[in-house]
Amino acid sequence: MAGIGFELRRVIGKGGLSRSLGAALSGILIVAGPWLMTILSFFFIRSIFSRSLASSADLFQVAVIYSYAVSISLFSGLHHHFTRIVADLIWEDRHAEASAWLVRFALAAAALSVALGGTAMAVAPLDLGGGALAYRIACVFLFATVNVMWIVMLFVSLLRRYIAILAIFAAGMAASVFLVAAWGGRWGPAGALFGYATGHAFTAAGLLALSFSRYTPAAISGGWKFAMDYARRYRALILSGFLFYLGQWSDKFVFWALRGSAVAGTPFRLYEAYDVPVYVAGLSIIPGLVYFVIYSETEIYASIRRFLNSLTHETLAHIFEAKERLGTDLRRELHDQTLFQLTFTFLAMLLVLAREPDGARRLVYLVALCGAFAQFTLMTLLNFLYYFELYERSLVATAVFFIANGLVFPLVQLLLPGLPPGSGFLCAGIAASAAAWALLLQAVPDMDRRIFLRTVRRN
Amino acid sequence: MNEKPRICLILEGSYPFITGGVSAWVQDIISGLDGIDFVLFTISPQKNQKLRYVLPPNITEHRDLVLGDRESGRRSHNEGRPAVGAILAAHARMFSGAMPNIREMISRIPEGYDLTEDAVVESRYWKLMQRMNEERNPAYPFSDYFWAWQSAHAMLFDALRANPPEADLYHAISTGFAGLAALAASVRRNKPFLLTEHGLYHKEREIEIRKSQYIRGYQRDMWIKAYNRISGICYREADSITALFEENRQKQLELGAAADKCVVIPNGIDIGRFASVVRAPRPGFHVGLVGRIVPIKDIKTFIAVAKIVLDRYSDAEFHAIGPTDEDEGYYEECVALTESLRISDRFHFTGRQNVLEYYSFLDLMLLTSIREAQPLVIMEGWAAGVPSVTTKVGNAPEMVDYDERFLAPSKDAAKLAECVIWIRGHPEEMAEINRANREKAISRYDKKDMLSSYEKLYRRMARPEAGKRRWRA
Repeated sequence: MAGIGFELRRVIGKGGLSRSLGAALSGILIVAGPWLMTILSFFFIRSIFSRSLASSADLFQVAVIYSYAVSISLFSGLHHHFTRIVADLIWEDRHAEASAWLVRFALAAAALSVALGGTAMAVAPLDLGGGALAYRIACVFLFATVNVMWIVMLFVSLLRRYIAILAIFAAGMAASVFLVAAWGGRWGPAGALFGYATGHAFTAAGLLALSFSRYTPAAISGGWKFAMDYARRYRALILSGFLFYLGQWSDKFVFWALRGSAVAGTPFRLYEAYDVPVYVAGLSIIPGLVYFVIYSETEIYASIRRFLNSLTHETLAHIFEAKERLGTDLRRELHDQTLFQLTFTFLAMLLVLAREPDGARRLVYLVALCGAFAQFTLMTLLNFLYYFELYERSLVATAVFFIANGLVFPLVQLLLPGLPPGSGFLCAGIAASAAAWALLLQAVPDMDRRIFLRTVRRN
Repeated sequence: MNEKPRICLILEGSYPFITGGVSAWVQDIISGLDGIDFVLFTISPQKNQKLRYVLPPNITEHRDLVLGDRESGRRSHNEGRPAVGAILAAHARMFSGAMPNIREMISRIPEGYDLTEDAVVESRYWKLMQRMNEERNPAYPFSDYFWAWQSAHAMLFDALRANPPEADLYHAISTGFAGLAALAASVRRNKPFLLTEHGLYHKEREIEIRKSQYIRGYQRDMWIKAYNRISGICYREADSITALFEENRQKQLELGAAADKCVVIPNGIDIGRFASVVRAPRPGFHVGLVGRIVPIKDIKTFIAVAKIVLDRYSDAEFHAIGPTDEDEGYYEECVALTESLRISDRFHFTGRQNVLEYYSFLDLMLLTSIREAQPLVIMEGWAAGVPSVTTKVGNAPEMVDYDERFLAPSKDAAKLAECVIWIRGHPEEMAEINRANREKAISRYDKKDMLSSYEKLYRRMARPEAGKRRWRA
């Protein structure tokens, strides 16, 4: 996203409050537009149609949450794999092939979703009377459309047609809302889910059409062997993506299982006391994400370019200077971004203190906000590690995150039940961020050697 | 002792893929010594090159090492650690002015293990490279230095990790990568290392480097120095060295070879075959050049000589006798030159021919090469009764006893033409000289003597006890 970041910086650089606000708003729409729309449409559906869906509202909600959570946890490795292939092909101006890989990965994601979701829903004990089969099929359909949509989203974000993307998203989500209302009222939770998933399918189809209008898919050379070679070469990247998202959701899964309340008629459980604060806290990092796109990413991108240029054209003394500056830029950007995001996290905490009267819920919110901040820091550092292609190191950091949040802290939480939910997530985020930062700083002084080594290996 | 010693010939850029003097010599040695088994270890720039020779039956194995083939040597870097330590120690000794212990270093390099990546994986090695760049070339882009260093060392490492067939003796037909591969095999298998040089490898590379448009500035010196060092290592470490003539032997001694290890074994020809040629002179004056139509033979100077001579004697005819397909572009340029000089009716590109037919009527052999070792064609011509005029390359001046009537500097068409014209104008004197030349060819350049010398050398060096005195890894 460094490209759009530079454009937004240029707008801000011209000065003026309206320009700066416009750029900030554009940044929000770009980094979080689809995410916000999905959340808003979901909450809108819940609040507006809860009466018409009546008791089946929970069945609708649990299916949506599980679809997103399981999708992002299990398929994030595939997303990293796909992104790596497509980014390289686009860099090499092989756009038509990239587009063909979009089709392949979207089909693969759909097939995997049907296989996994179908198996899970086939064995899930449901007590929904005559509507069970329709509900099962609707869940699988939603799971598949969500997974296909991730793949398509990753591709279209490379096209940089942000306004068109947002328009398609808005239309798709509007279709979701409309169809939930229309089919939910008539056919209950299964109808609502079909409606919601169909809206997603419209969104995915629209985004696919947008992609194909730019790049018509072409024949692929190498077939799946090409993709498997990529998977072997970038296994650390793929695994780190998988562990990061699995780590992010693992404590939620644990809380659902241990403290959640069951959704009637299903084996699924939800734990609203933690789930809702987590979703709300997630929104608090949007300013930081915008800052990252406009400032941190562009600065580091420019610094890396300078460093890489020095490797190709400069004397050793200049290479050392560029490397030194790269280290300084990394420290400064992380410092500035941290301060920026901390300000918003702090404001959100004040808001919680002012608006949440319940002491226990207030604590959960505060912890979740800190956890979101730590997770955001980790995401930033992982991005920096990816920029340097330090995939093994990013794998170590995400492994720390996953082990801490998914394995260690659930045990701690069992031993210390008084700890507020989200404490583990916060500690895991801090530990993994510290690990990522240390690994990044340790690698920078040696970066010239690593890059030459990489080139030797590629030759 | 094994009745049939097994000799591993290690060759770079010649037999059996490229024709020429060295390749012809190798073919002669192998087919002339049928009581010895040979195995070939060739070092090539690319895979699956076409064989240019029919391999004699006493070649029992042929293995080809392709320089730059990285796939075959990738193993765990832990395996290469001791080697890196030894290489660093060798560099440290080299920088302090002392001689590095190359055998010790080679013994630490696992056979087949590719060290190319280790030079970048190992931070100690990387720091050494940076230090060398800072000390020697601080004002130039580091990446240029790195890639020059990397490509030079990658080929060195290829040679040092080489895995030639088992043999009783490793015989390299040049220094350079062939010499290093022979040295490495000698160290690892505790077998003797024989080095034979026709031309001087480092000198030939130096000429190429100076002509190259791709290697410039400090890198030129770096490469030249590297090749000199490699030759020096081969000279110091070889158990025995043969040169074709004394001048080359002296140069080997200058670069570190021990005098008692160096012997001169001149080239030889099949005297009976060439001496049996029945002379049948043809009308006019026929000048021949036997050799490939390639730039190193400087055919364009031959054409220029033809033009000068034809301007004076219109009955002269010129024959370029040799294959034209090795450098077709150059051949076409030569043809175009004869056409533009309007001598194409008197200048003939014969292609590959039976040279004996030409020796029967040629009045003179001309050698315009810019580089030669000890040209066989001069000997062949002498045995057949044909005199030679030659450029001052390799052993040619010594062969003609430094007689300026038959010698000219490279590319000096006027002087070469002067020699040709002198020979044409002195038939009685030339008859005497031709007789003396034939005597010289018979007494000095008989292939039987050369084969006998090598057979004795092979049998002596390949004795099982020859290895026992050797340094053991």
